[in-house]
Amino acid sequence: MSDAPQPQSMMISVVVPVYCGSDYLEALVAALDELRREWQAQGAPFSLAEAIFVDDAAIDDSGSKIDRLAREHSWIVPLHLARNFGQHPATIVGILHSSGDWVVTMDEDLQHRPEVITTLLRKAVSEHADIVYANPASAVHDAAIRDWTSRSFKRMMQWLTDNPNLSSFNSFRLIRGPVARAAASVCSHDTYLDITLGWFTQSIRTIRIEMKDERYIKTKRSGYSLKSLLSHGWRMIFSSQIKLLRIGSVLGLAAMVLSVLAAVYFLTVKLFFPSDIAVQGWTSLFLAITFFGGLSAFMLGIVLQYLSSMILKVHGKPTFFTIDRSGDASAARWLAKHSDPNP
Amino acid sequence: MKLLRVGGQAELIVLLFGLGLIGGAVDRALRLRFQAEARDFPYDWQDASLQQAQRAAIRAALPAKTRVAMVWTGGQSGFGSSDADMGQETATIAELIAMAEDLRHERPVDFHMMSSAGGLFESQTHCSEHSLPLPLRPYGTGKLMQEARLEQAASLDRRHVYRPSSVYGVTRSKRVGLVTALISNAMQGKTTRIFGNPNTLRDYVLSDDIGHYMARRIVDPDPAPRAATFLLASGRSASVFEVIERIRERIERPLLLQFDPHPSNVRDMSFLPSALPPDWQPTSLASGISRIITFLRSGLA
Repeated sequence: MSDAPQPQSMMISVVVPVYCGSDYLEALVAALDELRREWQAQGAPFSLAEAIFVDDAAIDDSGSKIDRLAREHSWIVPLHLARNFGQHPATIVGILHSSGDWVVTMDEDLQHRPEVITTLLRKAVSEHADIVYANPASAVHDAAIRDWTSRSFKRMMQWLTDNPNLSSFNSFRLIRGPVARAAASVCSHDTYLDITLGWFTQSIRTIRIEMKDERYIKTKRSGYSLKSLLSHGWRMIFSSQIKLLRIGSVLGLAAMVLSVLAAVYFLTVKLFFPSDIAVQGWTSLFLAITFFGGLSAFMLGIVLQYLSSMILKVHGKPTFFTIDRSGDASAARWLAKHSDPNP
Repeated sequence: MKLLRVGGQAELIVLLFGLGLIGGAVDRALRLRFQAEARDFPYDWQDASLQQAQRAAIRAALPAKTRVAMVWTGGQSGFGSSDADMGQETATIAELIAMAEDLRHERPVDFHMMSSAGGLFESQTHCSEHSLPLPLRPYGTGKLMQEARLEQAASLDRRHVYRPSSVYGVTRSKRVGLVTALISNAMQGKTTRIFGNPNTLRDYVLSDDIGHYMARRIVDPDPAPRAATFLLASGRSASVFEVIERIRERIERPLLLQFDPHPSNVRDMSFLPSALPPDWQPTSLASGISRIITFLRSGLA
């Protein structure tokens, strides 16, 4: 069987950031190879053209293992980062090195099964989606507290950032190539990739699949420490226009309006019913504090909104972005004729 | 054309035809890295009878028995070339190959030919070392014919073909590549017309990298394969959108852009790193852009 992808077929790039996945790499490459051979054998109008393994200064022997696997398979592209930059930057580098029509990002530890890529693609091309996230159908870690924390964290961030897709965010995603590369192009070191992806498309879907974090279940060690989770949250807030700014502005404005209305009321009382006011001076002082406090909060909110808009502009939030989805049809037709092994 | 005399242990005469973006880079690399001494000779690309006289003058200037490397880095109108343009270019190259074969009777002669990965692999992505050229326009077909002509010249010592992808760099000629055109126009407040779309993927390589690599190969006295083809790409394609963003980040000036509504050059191209020569070290796109900006700002171009 030829290693070269069929000309004119839809190309798929896989990006895998690697930090401590030495134990899983061979199995992952074997699974990816099986998938690409299966697609070739079935004459699918898409092919797995490359798998980009990004060695994020791995703490085990993943780096050398990736190089060895790349020597054995021409479709594997090894990349080595000079230091540990983190999962998101590693994913971004991988995406920027990809040239597939679709880009799949996945973890190294087989929590994300390569065979699900077909299901992701089916969802994407049949619904003209630009991003499809794979979400766990049941608890990932088999640890109630760990799973509850993860869900609660996402819910809180979803409320804070007002992003309806946030609870779907997952590192196992299929992204339309141009969208992936455009988003990766504008990401700075502090930008959250999934937030940036949302700047380029609203056509986002989710599928539910069985996922198990075998590494956590076996070793009780998670890839995410509390520090890295906080860092994740910070990047999400930093990349978004958070609701708190708007809430602050609205509360400030409300306080101002309330103080003006109260001033009118108490002025009327002072003029027509002066005996009703027992303590002199307190009302005007309270109203002045409320008014100027509200004014300060409102102005600060506006300044922060301006600043937030400027930061988003600096972060590369685009004015517009065009996309061509016409290539989906042939893959959708082919997939419609072939049943889904992961319904 | 230029006749460059490289000294050292193995004396070498380089006959460099074509002094555009890549030819200029090869010339600079030979002079800076290998202290080559250059002498200009006229060479007309249109008039065959004039060419004959000019080739005779070049031959007369060659020292006896010295090893010669003939280098073709010419090209007239790039991707938009017609069949006639490419026919004329191929005829010019055929004459030069014939000259090289003739010279081979009296001395060792290598031939280094610049081809084009873009022309040969247009619309192909993830090209590996096994990918076959499938040209889609006269430019690519012409390049393939030129490569075939060199392959037939079996009497020559080394026949090296270089296939660069989308080249950018600084030169006085008009063809500078998208990256340089965007930077140069932004600095002058001019609008850049783009014949692709923002999502078009290309593999951008810096002309100086190609110049240095070719110069090393030309001068290299070690016995190398008699016929070899080198794909000179970065192994990392970038969308036009990314190129614009990278330039915008560094140049800090507005980029005035006009995308052609009926773009003629939208097909993606990309090359797997495993298809590249092991001793080829391309500059990253971000560094290349910074270099071009520094160069243009310093007024050295």
